[in-house]
Amino acid sequence: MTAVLEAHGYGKRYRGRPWALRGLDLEVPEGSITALVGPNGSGKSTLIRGWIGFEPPTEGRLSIAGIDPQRHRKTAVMRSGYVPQQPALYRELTVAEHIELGVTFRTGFDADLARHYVERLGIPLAAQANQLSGGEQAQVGLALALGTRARILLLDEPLASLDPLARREFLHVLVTAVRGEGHTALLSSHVITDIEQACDRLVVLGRGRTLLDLSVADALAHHRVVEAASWEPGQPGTIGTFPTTTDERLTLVRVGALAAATPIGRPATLEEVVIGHLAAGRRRGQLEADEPVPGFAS
Amino acid sequence: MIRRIVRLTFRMHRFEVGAIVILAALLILGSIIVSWALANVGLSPECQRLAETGELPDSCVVAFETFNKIASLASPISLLTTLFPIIAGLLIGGPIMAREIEHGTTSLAWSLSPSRLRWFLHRVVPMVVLLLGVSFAVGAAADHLTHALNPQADLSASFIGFRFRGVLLATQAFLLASTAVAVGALFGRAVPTFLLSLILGMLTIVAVGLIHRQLLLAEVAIQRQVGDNFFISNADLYIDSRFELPDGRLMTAEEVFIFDPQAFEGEFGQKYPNVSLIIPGERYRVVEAREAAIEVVIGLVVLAGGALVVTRRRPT
Repeated sequence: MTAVLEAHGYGKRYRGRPWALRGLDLEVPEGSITALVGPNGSGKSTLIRGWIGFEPPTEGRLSIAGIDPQRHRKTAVMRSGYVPQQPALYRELTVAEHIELGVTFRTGFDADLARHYVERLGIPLAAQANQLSGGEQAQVGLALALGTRARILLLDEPLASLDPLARREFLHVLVTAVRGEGHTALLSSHVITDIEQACDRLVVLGRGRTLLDLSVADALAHHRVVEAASWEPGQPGTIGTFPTTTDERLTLVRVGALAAATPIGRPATLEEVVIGHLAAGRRRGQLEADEPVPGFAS
Repeated sequence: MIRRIVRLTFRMHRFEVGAIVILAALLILGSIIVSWALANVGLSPECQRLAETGELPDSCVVAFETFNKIASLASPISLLTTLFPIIAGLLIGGPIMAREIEHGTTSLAWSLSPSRLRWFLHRVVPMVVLLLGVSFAVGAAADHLTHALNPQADLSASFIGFRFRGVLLATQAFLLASTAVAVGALFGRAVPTFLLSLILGMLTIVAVGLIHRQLLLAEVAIQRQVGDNFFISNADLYIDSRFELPDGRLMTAEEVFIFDPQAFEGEFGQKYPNVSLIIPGERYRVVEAREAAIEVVIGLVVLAGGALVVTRRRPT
């Protein structure tokens, strides 16, 4: 399958701060809805903004639909629809005026389609942006992104400010639009339960790199959880140990074809897969941090 | 499409647009009312001429006092008119870029608009055109008021109120607005943009005045002292003074001191007559047009710098 979003040895470091991402290799296949998951500061927004040409890489390269977004920013913007992390509507304008704005900015902006999605999401066109909740503003952002008719959608944590019902509506509109038109979507989020229903791929970022890159089906099929107390740490397949809300500690285990025939523990939920890999990433980070620096060991 | 762009831009900046239009309307209205009142005092040309000599006959006193009383009402209008380019330039130019970047709306706009230059022009051009139109109107009203206060003067050939009336009010406002746009694009914060633009804009306007003064030194006419009277018409623009040597050379005091150390000794204190360097009022239109052109060119260059910053910076 062709990859429409690619990162090769991508690294980004902001001045005076540690690397946000480093040595990242990632490919997002065409026609997929990929979830980009990771803790705060793991570089999700940086990566998405890099693909739309907002952030130049410090090292490595990115490509969107086969082009370098830094060298061909206009084309990158034309090929993508973007929903930013913070709702960024003009407070003084109505929803309908935002759609008009899209028409003035972009040749081929489909105002009727954007209006259709706004109405479908139950947002009044005459509403002033400053009267909308954060969730409604994110929904308007999605409608505007869909109005671009871009084949690649980049959504930077759009679910964060939505209530559960609005999240469902948002994802329903997104999935219908993407599946119906054969688009590709990359959605960064913390809300893993919703991702499971909407996305077909899962990428977990942590410590500035990719911790997991699998289809959602494979992620669920190849991971199980066992009680940490009954599991010998360091056994083959051990990924990470994490606490539950009931003070229990679970260990995420990757199972191969052989182990799958003799199941251990119980199947992991997608949330447990993500948490287990994040815990493993954090542990690896701590181990790396604990390693003595050559020449400075006491 | 253009009408839609203008409407949306004005809607985004409706507070600034409203404030500037109301302030301009008040200034224009005030200028018209005071000018009309001054014209109706009935101060005859003869009384005006005599008032300038300081020998006012009793028949003129009442009209002259009434004229002065009404003229005092013009002071706050003149002061606000003088400040108008600063207020309007900063209020219009400051928020265009700084507020967009600060509020994060650039993320939306720059992801929708493939060309940031087009977005920049959509935001800046309608506001600058509005600013120029309103400032020209205020400048014209200031011309009208200046004429009412100086009925004897031909303002097309007089430096009375130079830089505080006419087209220069509009070009000063344009220069300040351009500075605010560029600073806003660079810093992306509203309050620092206002403060820094005020300082940079004012320094630029002062610098333009000083540079223009240097250019004018090559075009000056010499105004010689007649007896004890060193009268310079207020229609002329005073540039500087020099000492005139017998052979016609003009020197500054420092140059004279080096050339002839005894020049300032003796009974009358100085050996060579002092002369004034002036630009005659007849050259007003040329000088005004040139200064306006300098300010417009600088403003355009600064705006181009702002556009360059926009094409290269990251949104917040």
